[in-house]
Amino acid sequence: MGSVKPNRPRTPQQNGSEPTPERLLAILEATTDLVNLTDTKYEQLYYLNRAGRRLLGIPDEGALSNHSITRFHPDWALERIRKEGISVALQDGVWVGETAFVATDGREVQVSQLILAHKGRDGMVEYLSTMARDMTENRRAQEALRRSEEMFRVITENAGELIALVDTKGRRLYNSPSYERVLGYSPEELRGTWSFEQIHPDDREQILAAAEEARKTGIGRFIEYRMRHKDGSWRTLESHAGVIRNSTGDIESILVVARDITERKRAEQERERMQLQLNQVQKLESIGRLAAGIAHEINTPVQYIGDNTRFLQESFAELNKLLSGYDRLLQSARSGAVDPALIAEVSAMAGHTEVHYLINEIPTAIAQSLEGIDRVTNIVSAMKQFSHPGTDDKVAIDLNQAIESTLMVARNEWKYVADLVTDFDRTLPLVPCLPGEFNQVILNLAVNAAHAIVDCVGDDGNRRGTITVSTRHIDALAEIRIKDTGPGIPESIRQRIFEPFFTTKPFGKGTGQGLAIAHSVIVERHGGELMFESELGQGTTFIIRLPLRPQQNKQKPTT
Amino acid sequence: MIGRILILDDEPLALDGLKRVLRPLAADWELLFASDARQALDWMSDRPVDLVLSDLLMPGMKGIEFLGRVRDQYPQTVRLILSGYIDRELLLRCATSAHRAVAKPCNPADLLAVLRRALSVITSIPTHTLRTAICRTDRLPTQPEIRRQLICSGDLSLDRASACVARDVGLAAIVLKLANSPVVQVAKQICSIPDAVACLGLDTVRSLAASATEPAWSAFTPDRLQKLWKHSLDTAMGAQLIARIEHVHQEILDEAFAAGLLHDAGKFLLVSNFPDQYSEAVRLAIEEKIELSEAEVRIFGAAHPKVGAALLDLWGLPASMLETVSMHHLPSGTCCHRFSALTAVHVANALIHERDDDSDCSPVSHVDPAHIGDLGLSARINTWRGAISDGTSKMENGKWPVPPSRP
Repeated sequence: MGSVKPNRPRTPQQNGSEPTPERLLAILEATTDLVNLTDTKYEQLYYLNRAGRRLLGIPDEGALSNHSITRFHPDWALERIRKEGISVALQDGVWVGETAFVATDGREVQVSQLILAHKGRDGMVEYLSTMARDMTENRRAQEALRRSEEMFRVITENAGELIALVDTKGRRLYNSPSYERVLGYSPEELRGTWSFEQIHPDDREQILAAAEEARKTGIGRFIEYRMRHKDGSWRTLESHAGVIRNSTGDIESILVVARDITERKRAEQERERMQLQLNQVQKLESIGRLAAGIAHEINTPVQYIGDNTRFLQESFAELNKLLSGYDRLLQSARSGAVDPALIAEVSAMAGHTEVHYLINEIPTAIAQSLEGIDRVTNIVSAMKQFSHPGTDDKVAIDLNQAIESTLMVARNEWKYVADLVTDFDRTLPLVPCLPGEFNQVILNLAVNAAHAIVDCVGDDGNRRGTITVSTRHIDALAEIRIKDTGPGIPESIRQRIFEPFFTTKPFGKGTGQGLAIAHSVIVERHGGELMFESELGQGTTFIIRLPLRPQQNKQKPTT
Repeated sequence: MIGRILILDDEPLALDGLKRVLRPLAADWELLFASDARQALDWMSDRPVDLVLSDLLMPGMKGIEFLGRVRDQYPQTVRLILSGYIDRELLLRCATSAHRAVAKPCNPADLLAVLRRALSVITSIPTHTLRTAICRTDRLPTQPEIRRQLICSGDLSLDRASACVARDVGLAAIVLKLANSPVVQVAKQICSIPDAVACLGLDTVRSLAASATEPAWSAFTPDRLQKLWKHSLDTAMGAQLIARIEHVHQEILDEAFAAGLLHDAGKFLLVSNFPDQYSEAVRLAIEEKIELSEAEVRIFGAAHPKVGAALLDLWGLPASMLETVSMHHLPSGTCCHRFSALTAVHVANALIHERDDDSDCSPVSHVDPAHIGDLGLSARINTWRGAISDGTSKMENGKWPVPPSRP
């Protein structure tokens, strides 16, 4: 390997790096910019490179002595060059300006022109050189950019949406004028302020987290929050953010597009309130119709309990009177001589009292009264269970018993038109339920079943249908089937029966909420399923499936 | 022949209970207990019954249908409801198919009292024909114009509705009947038309007006009908006027008006059912110069005050109104010794007859001197007479004094 020597500059000849005149000329000829040399007056062309000849339509080999450069400029450009360019170049050595050439096809070509004044050894300017770059494309791009900016400006300034640009620290860089309309603050007021300032304290954490997430992932998501209006009121906004990166890919700012959804929220709340009210109306409606049946169911036994008790009271008085007669008779007998008049009196009394009737009737009256009391007790405890105060927490209930109570409460709805068959799976474990709402569903379905049967057999009591209610324990589900022998649901309306307000009952007879509520209670509140099987002429079976494991109440997705 | 009572309830235990408490009636009446409407109708076809007491909610034939059939087939039967639930809709449908309703549960003694009352009403009517006429009357005539006002008026207020009802004998009677039925859960008896209208509510009153059928009043010469209507309204107004002059309590004022309107209910009933005999009675009264009531007794076996009271009694109107209707010719026959609605109606009726001196309608009836003397008000008669002629002259101008309304 020999000794290590320091690098010595290699001779140009050896490695071709020397800027030889040939090489420099080659560059001039190869560049796409126009390059020329002229006299100091910028008239006589000494040199024009290939790009220049192409542009101006001068043959590559043709002589230049016939051409004055001046005739290749439009008047305005020549004037600028003469008035400004040449003098500045002569004085300062260099001038740069926007001018133009007239191309061979007559087209005005915008250029950025550099004029250099070259001095000789004596310090006098010997000639001028020009380098001009065609700016047409550049202009076009700039124009496009300007237009695009203008467009975005128009969009942001006229958009209903709130558009804001904030830096990564949360300082506001830009706010669209819509901020003033929606929140009362002018863009000027907002510029430079902290963007979390007006956000509701309860919502800040959420926003900070979302902003942080956007910074990390570069992906924004929809968030909903409240912002204070300048007048102190709160507006609800829904926004989405995107990140803007600089040329190195770092996040430079965050663009937030927000929309005022206060009115929409209000409408949504209004709708929810209406829905709640409707549910309440439906509940009141069913309680109202039940009241008739329950009143009848209770008042009938109460009536005969009262009748019997009154009868017992009177009977006891009669028997007591007779008993006192017998008592006197006994005392008289004890004294030895029984007065025949007393015997006659007591006999008459006994004959008048219908003792045999009373002896037979009193135990029956007592037994029937006790039976009546049992009936009232059953109805009252069923009502108590049915009207289980609505809780928002699920409790484990015995479905069979809940169903039995509800059917008992609704007894008057079906007892004149249908026989009830229950087929309960006694192995069914306790099921987590909202008892009040679940009972309401069973009630709605039972009443519908009774109505379906009336549609089929009429209510003259000559023909009756059957309502079959069964429960089954199937894997992790409890299944309840409520089957009627009604006419079945016509194919044409099967799709619609769970829709709110859909009803086949005559006007004023149903709110059309029964099945809609049943559906929402089972599916949304219990995470279960509600479906039906129906066959025309055979009847309909509604099937409820409830999960045995407690499930979260399905929350409405918060945005 | 012993009378028959039929009790219908689908619940055997309820029937047993009723059997026990109605036993006291068994001495004078044959009691039939049916648990099915068909069976009940079968028994009735064997031999008619005098009174039925029926449940409403039953399997098969409903109580309402059963009562309707009884009304059509056996118009001489008193029809009562005993039901554990009577809502407004049901009530409207029962308005004319039953005379009266009792709500379950009721005190057995009260039930017995209602039955005894109804039985005493029908047994007090001497002829079968008249009894049938009373039992089958489910409405008194209603003026089509007033019905129209109630049904068609878009902005009907309770006050306006009361004013309409207060000008119509038929509507006033049925509104008072329903207001005193168990569907209106008011402890006191209702003798005031504005109270009755307020208790029932506009919808119910409207429905009653709408369901009123035009009865076959061809029997009435329109002239006689108009006169009877005018006399009823004049008496109501007059009674109210007199009561007001005597500064009585508002309740008596209202009752005087209502009882005044209904005081000739019996005359409506007799004229519509027996037009020819009624003309005969009028002729008899004029020819023989006897009171019309006496002529009515001769022809029908009972005079119109008694007939009207019997009808309203079956309908369950308050006892004080019944007394006013039945005794409006002779208040001294009652044990009432202070100024009452009866006094006001009696005086107004007598003074209006005196003023109108209507030979076709009836010979003049007089103010009962014993009653007024008993009250120490004999000196007031001229004041009342003056007020009546003042008040009625206003009526003839087509402007009725304001009918009663709630204070």
